[in-house]
Amino acid sequence: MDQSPLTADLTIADVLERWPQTVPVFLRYRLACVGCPIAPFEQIADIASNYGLALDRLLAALQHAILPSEEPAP
Amino acid sequence: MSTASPVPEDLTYLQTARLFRELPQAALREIARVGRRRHVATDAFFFHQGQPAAVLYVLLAGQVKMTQITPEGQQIILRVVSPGEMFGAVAALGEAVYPASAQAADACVALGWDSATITNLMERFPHLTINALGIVVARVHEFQDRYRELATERVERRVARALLRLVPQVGRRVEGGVLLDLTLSRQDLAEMTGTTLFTVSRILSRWEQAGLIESGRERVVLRRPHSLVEIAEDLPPGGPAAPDP
Repeated sequence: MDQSPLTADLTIADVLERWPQTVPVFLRYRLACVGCPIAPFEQIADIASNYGLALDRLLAALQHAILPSEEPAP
Repeated sequence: MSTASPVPEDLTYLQTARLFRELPQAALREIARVGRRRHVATDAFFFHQGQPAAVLYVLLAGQVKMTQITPEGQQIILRVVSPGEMFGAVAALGEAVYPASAQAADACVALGWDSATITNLMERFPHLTINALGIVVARVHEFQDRYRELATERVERRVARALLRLVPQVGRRVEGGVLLDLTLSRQDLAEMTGTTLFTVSRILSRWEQAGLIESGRERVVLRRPHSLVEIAEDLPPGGPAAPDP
């Protein structure tokens, strides 16, 4: 398992490639990220602003999918 | 068919209906007399898409939604019928089935005539036929306009998709966007999307004005790639409200 931390400046493509278990999170938020051609160019922070999501909540949800034992998403 | 004498207020409504314009009072009375009055509660249906087209209606009160279900199961509203308007007109033209459903948006009252009755009335009162034709022509115009809008929207989606499809292959991050790093003329884009150079130019100019892209000579920078995804995928602009997963 990839031990590097999840940060807001990672691209969506990086996140999906390193942690495929995050796919359901993107789907649950109804984001068009999975399979999106611009995923290598958009960072998590961009996605939050594009879709009007709270960045910390999105990060927490992704983090929870990566390491469910850690603090769950609020 | 009902043989009850016409309800007076029905006659008033029929006078205002476009279908019965310029018909003499006696004819209206006769038409109202052979019509069948029907009350339909909110959300109930006058008829369903695919059912045998048996009755033509003129709405007296309420509102009716004409809807179709796509093969994918999505419901679309074709139009909303207001008092004085006819619906289910295919019944008069001998079509086999209703092409759409008619659902009451609130409590509705309508007068209906079955195919044989309306055909008979049309033979006796030629103005009825002329009016019906006028209504159908107006509706064709309306649908032509809507078709044109849909057609142009679809081209816009196709162009957005074409640009986005190139991103994984030739996209390169540059200051303030993603550069499509290849020689790409507007004519190329037109051919990729099955449309004309003129249409592509118009779409690109609009996007440029909106700040979505920057298009120079044979190069395109996607300034707001996500906005193109919204167009290509028909996403609601600004994204959906965040659900609480």
